[in-house]
Amino acid sequence: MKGCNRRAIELSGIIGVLWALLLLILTIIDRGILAVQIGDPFLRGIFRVATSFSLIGLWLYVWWNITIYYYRRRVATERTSGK
Amino acid sequence: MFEMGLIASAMTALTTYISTPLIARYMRDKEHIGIDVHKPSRPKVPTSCGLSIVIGLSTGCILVALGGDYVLKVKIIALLSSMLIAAAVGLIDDFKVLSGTVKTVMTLATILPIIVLSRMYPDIIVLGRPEVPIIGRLRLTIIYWLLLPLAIAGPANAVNMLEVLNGVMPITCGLATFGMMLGAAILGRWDGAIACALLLSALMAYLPYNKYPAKVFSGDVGSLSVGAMMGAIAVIFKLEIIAMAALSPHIMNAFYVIAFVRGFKEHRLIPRPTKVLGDGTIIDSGDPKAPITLVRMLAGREGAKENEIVKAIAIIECSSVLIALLLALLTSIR
Repeated sequence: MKGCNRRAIELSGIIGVLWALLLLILTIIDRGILAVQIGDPFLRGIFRVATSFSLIGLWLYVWWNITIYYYRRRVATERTSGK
Repeated sequence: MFEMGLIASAMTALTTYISTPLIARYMRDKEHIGIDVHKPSRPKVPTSCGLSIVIGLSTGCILVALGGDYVLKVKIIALLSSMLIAAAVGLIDDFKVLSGTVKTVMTLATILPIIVLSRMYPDIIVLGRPEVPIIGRLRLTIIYWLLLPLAIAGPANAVNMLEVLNGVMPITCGLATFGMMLGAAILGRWDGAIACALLLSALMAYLPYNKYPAKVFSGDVGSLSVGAMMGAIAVIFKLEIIAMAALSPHIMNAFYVIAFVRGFKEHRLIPRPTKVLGDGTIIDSGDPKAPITLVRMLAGREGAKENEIVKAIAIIECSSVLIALLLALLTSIR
């Protein structure tokens, strides 16, 4: 298989993993974080926004690092074409 | 509705196919050309020919609006207005180069027709609470309205950022639109499926001119309007998650570029992530200051020809479409 096709399949796998993670995080936010009962509406709002944004930020961080890791380990270390 | 959609799609394709070479000739006469930098001979190619897609889509939208019911008319007007604003921004950028930030901010205006019409017709254009599998409707209120301006500007700029190789835009956006069309059909949103069919027809009619080796370039007018159309379809016909999944390669590429350069910069100011060898092989430039783009990762250190990289991007797009269809199926089951 050509290198670029192999990398295309690997990147497709990364996209699949990221989507699964995103759905998991959205489920945690909807079923977990939004279900937490805090009496004060202001505090409840702060808690929900802070935790939800933290989880989404974490997801973005994971996405970024997976990409850097993939590039450094799989793409940048391959043999050059020598042309 | 089915017959009307079919006729409108056919007219969209015909208008796009006929107008593309006419616009290309006009652009060449005006010396409005781009350099195909991924070929050793660096040929000159007329640019801003994506205007034919705008003309074709406008034709199709007008036909659907004339033949459709009141609800469909309002939705199509919102769709067409957003697309035309994006096309205007793209045309301005093609002739008078705008900075990356200015262009991005101007594309935020594409949401305005949708917001205005949703206020005038709240029962027809319903904004808020996108649907996702497992959970159902997300409980997004304030955050939805904060993110809404990005709902169309995001896809518009993401499509624009990935349009760097011959044929990438019509192929990837064509596949993504096909996935959105099937997703809309699965969810029973037939008006959304018709809107997708119009866009798919325009892209397929444009593809013969833009595929490798390209005879025309789309310019920002083409890529911004196509991306804006996809974003507008997602918002108006409630296909947000399906569109996001289908546009994953574009969103991925845009995320990498923005995160790496820490902002919106004109692409001419960004270090080149790839370089072209004497035989036309595209290879990773190895420049640590250049962003890690999708093309750079696919080309790698061994390199690949331009059409091979486009095929590889199409593979990624196909897998994204499969994810989009899976999400549509899971949403419909719920």
